[in-house]
Amino acid sequence: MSVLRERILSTATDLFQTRGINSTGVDTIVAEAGTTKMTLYKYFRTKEELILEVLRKSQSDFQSWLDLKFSTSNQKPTEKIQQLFDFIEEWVSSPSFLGMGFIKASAEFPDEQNPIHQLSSQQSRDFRLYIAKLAADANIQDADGLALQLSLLFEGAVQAEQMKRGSGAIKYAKQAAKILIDGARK
Amino acid sequence: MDILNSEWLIAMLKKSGSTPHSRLLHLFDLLDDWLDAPKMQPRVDFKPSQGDSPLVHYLTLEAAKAGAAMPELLANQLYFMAIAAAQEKLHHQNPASLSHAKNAAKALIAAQTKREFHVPKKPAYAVAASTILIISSMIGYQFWKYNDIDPVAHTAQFASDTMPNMGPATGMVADASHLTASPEQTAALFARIEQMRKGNCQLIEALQLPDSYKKVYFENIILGQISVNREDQRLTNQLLDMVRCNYTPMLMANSKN
Repeated sequence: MSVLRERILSTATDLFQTRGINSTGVDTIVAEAGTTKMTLYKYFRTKEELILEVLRKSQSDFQSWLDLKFSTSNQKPTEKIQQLFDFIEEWVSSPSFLGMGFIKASAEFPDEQNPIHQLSSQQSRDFRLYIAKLAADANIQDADGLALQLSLLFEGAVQAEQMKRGSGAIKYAKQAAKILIDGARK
Repeated sequence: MDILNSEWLIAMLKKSGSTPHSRLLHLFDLLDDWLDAPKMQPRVDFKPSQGDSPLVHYLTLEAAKAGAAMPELLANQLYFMAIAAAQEKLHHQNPASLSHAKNAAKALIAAQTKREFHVPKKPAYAVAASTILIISSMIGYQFWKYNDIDPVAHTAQFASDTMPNMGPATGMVADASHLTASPEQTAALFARIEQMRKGNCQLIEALQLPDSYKKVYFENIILGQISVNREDQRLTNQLLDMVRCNYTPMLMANSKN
């Protein structure tokens, strides 16, 4: 990937998270990235294409980070579902946390026919499937049901945290997740 | 149509249960029933409100009454979960989404309202210190009330300077005396004080409070005579924020030492 394309993506990611997607114009992105509109449109034909690529990359980065955390932990498969919330807490508490791309995008583009809404909705479902797999590995019978409960907790906490940094939302979501996981094991 | 912030939904919630806990959870049942009803209404979108949300305001009051550690945060999390679950049911035809959201909400409410278990190093001394503090506070109050003098006037200015976000105290209570708190606010404050009484609490140094806070402190927090004056309640809530409590049952604390 070209350095310039990478810089445009990184700048757009930061601006979308801090100022909002609809509120950030292409002019602002190119000014912040130190490039020109012509260069931006060389790599991304439209703003919509840029937003979609930002969402894909953000989700891919988050997933890679999670995979790395699990690969370096020594937890048994049955314990990984609880450990997921330890990692999420670590991620949300880090100074670089700016929010979750698909959650913000879904709120800003509520029209179901919009490709941005469709992608963010798909990413939300993919993350739930990821949790369902961890639940199945933990021998939980209703893995899909638990995954839906945990993903609702997770998304609610991230939205609250996006509203107010340091809210403590993820701490309570983690405690609630433990209650739900322990209950589902019985 | 913004069903989430409609007067109808809040009115239904108010009469949906006998406890704050059950009223918080009925949000998910009501939305579930509403989405199952034959659709006479126009197309509905479930999305977060742009400005202040009456529903979040209502849920915050109920969360406070339920004894939540951070009522506004709990209200916001429940609100977002309800929206996500309603969207899931509406757009992805998942009939059980609100029922699962209700389960998750139960766990979240439990996490926010559970007692904190911290074992104090010297529980016996802590209890003795709290008891002495309460007794000395009550004696001090009687002395202050009936003699109409301030035994620690020289400390009042210092205390006023060291308390963050207290705002100007002089005359505030008198000026706002015509403002009455709502029954919900009074109930929420009553719930906070009841919660405090269940713990082993390190009360604040009452004699160092500015005069205008002493009366509110002794009557509302020490004696439990909750004022219906809105400004008194605001001061009481600020003072309660300064009280540190430990909810370890004594038998459990002693058995661990």
